[in-house]
Amino acid sequence: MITTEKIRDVLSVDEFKGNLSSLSEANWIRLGRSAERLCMGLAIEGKDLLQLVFCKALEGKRKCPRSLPVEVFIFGAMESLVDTYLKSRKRDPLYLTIKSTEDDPSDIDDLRPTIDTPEEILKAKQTLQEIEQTLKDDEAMVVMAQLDEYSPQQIQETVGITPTQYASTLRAIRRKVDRLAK
Amino acid sequence: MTADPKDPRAELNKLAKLLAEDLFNTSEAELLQEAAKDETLKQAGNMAKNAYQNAMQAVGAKRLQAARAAMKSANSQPLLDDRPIDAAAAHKIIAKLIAANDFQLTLAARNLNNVSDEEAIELVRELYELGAIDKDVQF
Repeated sequence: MITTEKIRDVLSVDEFKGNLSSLSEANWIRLGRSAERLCMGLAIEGKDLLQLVFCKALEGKRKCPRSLPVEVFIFGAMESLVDTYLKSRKRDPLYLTIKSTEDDPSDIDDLRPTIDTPEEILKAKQTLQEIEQTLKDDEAMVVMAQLDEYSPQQIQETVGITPTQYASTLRAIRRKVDRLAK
Repeated sequence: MTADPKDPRAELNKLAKLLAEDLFNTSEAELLQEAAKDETLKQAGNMAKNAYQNAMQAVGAKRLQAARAAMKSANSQPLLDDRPIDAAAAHKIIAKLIAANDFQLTLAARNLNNVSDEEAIELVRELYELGAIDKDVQF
């Protein structure tokens, strides 16, 4: 049963709209760019992913917790939908049967891939290789550690860099990927 | 978490999260400075705004469509007033009610033997609407 307390913990659709109407320019940039990057190498586009998330929030199907900045909530919802999308695009049918997805697979019905899975995998592989080729040693190590799912602190310890160096390495990687995507 | 680490799409997804981490940690001022030099960042912001506007329109259109469907469905229900009532049938129903001497319908208060065709039809319609006459009664 949904208690009044729980209802108060999430934004109403009107409150969500209100928060978006006052979203800063930088946050719109963050949302747009992170949507593009989450769709990197995939057969879907950032604008479609973002629109889907906005639709779900406006329909009240996904609710933004009050404790979360609205831009962080939208990014989290995009991440979650991309995870569901990737799971739904697996080639191995056995994998699909043994892995239950947290999100409803119908959530991504509106995301229409433009190419088939094998082509998509090839495209992703090429994109990843192009990125790796542009990275310097520390940058490559940070990326490798991230792919191994290390936490930011573990990455810093493994690569042997300070938090400040880690932050500038991330910035350098982001700018390189941005240049490649142009 | 995307499960298959060998899938390059999953790896790119992890990289995307790293890039987003930096985007969200970059201060507003720095990001705007960057956008002043990088047109694609401005475009990304505009794309996000357009996605929101498109979502508003799509959700609005969906609601309108649902409201129209509901209205259409309501309109397709036969309205009581639309049921044709024949004057002779109306007089017949009234005669039956008089014969049944149904006081609940307070028909005795009216001079029902002398009502016009229009009045008879109107009376039967009212009784029907009030539920005083069985819905299945044939006019």
